[in-house]
Parts: sequence; structure tokens; C-alpha cells
Amino acid sequence: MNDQHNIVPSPNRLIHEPARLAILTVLSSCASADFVFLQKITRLSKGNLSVQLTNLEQAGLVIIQKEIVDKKTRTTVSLSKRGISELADYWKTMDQIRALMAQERKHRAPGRTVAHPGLSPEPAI
Amino acid sequence: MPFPLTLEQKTDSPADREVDPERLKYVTRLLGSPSGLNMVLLGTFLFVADVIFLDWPSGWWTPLEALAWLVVLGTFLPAYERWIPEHYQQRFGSVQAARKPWSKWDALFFLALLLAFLALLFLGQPIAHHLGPVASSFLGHLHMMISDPSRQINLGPSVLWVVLFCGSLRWHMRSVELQRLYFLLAGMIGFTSIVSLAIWHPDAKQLAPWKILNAGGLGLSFIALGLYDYIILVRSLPKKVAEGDDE
Repeated sequence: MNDQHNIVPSPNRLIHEPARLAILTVLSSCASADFVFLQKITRLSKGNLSVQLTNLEQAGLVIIQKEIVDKKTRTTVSLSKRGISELADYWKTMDQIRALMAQERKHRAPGRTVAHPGLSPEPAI
Repeated sequence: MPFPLTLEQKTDSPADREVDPERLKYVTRLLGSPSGLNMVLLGTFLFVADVIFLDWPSGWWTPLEALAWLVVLGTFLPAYERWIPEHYQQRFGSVQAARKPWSKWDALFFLALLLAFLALLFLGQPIAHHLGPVASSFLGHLHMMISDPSRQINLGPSVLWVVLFCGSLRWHMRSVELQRLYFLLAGMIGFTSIVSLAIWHPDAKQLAPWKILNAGGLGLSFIALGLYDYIILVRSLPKKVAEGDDE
């Protein structure tokens, strides 16, 4: 078990945060999305979304474009090439983690009972 | 299945503490595809056009028919070009659909379409001369099978819903896909009921409601499909947006 913990891959911490993961997942399904749509679909506040987009842009994962349409600023966001590949790597890592967890569950003895009332059958993580 | 992550940062909706990648992708693709309200518009146009050409008594119907055409034609273009896109931008925001890179199958499909077009261009008439009676005979047999020798029953809508339903079946379906499947099943049952009613009760074909549903079935189908997509977006994306210069 200790050996398995040692080889468990770590997901990208920047992407792993739920708000940023939601933004990147949305952008992976389209060529680009505007700020209004991102705010509605992620249900983040305007300020929070701006902060997350800035973080992602500084990390080189997204491209932000601003244009004036009908005297209003429209912000459009798209995934950069680096963002596409890092998101794909992230999902591969998560698949590996899920596969390891599934393997771990399979190797546990079936019908195992709790040995001591204070102990849980699930190993502490 | 929702992705098992918890939000570390405060959001406006504390109850939404899980990221559901499949729901996010589904809604994003839905907004990037042709709008549901455009399909409703097209369906309304088709419905009015089909119903107008039914055998209505003259007199009071003629001015009503003219008015219906005026309303439909007068609103179709402004709605398609301006009102619907503006409404979608304001209510949902906008998404540019992902451009799929061309695969060899896409190229082959395009080539096949081009060849078919060329074939029709030069050989359309002889093909129609040979295939016309065959198609007519096939349709005739189909209508005889459902006891409709006069070909009054419109089978198009039922076939459309059956094709959509069968095309949506998958081995592993996510909840959003299952919801759509149930909707398509309901549509299939609804529109085949119109056909079944006429088969089991031939007198129903003389009733005006049946005639309208039968003739306008395709338009009604498009309206239903478009409304479903629109309602999914309305339910998935909250109306309230924080005020700011980015609106």
C-alpha cells in the first residue's frame, strides 16, 4: 500500500481547483466562450471569475480577447495550445488515479468485517 | 456522475459544490449548435404553411390565411436575423462551436456528396424516370400496410421521431442524454398515436383537429425539438448576471 501511494500521480494543482476546472472544461468543448456564458455556466461571481481567468491567462492556459461591441466590452476566452495539452494530461492523470483506486478496491478481501468497533474497513488516507 | 471535487473558494451558489464535466460540456455544445428558438421559428413556418394548404372552406378562411402569411413572413426574417440572436446573447451569452479538424471520413463524405450532386445534375431526369415509380410504389405499399389507401396519413413526423430516438440510443448514457431519450420517446409515442388513431378509427380523419395535427406534424415536431433545447438552456443557465461593464 505504501508503495502504491508512492507511485500515485499528482494532478496539476492549477487545473485541479474546481472553479478553474469548470472554466477549462467549458472551453475544451468550444472554440471560444464569452464572459457572460462562463459566468452563467460556472455560477461564479463576476470578481471570482475575473480572478480565475487572470490566473489561467498568466499560466498560459487561456487566451483572453476584449473587443468593443455596441459600445460595450465583450470578453472572449479560448483555450491556448498549452491549455489543451495540459487539460488532456490532467484528465489522463485523473483516469490513472481512478484506475489505481479501482484496483485497490478489487484487492481488498470480500466480506471483510470490521475487526474493532473503532476501526473503519476503509484505510485512512 | 458528478466529479468528486469540492470547491475551496466561495461561490455565489454555495450549493453547487461539485464540477460535473459532462453537464458542462453538454450545455456548452448545446449553445454552440443552431439555436432551439430558430428551430421553433422554422417549425412555426412549416406548421402554418402545411395547415394553410389544407382543404378549408372558403369565405372566412381566405382573409385569415392572408393574415397568417403576412404575420409569418413579416416576422420570420427579423426574428431569425436579430431578435433571436440578441435574446440568446443577453440571456445565455455566446459560444463559438469547436471546429472539428477534417478527417478522411469527412473528406470521403464530402466527395460522395459532390459526386451525387453531379450525378443528379446530369442524370437527374433519367434517374427520376426510373426511381419515381419505384418510390411511389414503395410509399403506396407502406400506406396499404397501415390501411390508408388514399394516403391521407402523414408518416413523415412519426418516421422522424423514430429515427431520432433510435439514433440517440447508446450503451452507456449519461443523465442529460437519458433525459433527451425520454423526451424523444414521448415525441415518438405522441406522433405515432396520431397515425394509430387514424388506423383504428378511420372516421377521425374527417375531424379538423386530426387534420391539423396530421398536416402540421413536421412543423410541430420542429417546434417541440427546438423548445426542448431552449428549455434545457434556460434551466441550466441562471438568468441573473452580476452588473458590470462586461455585459
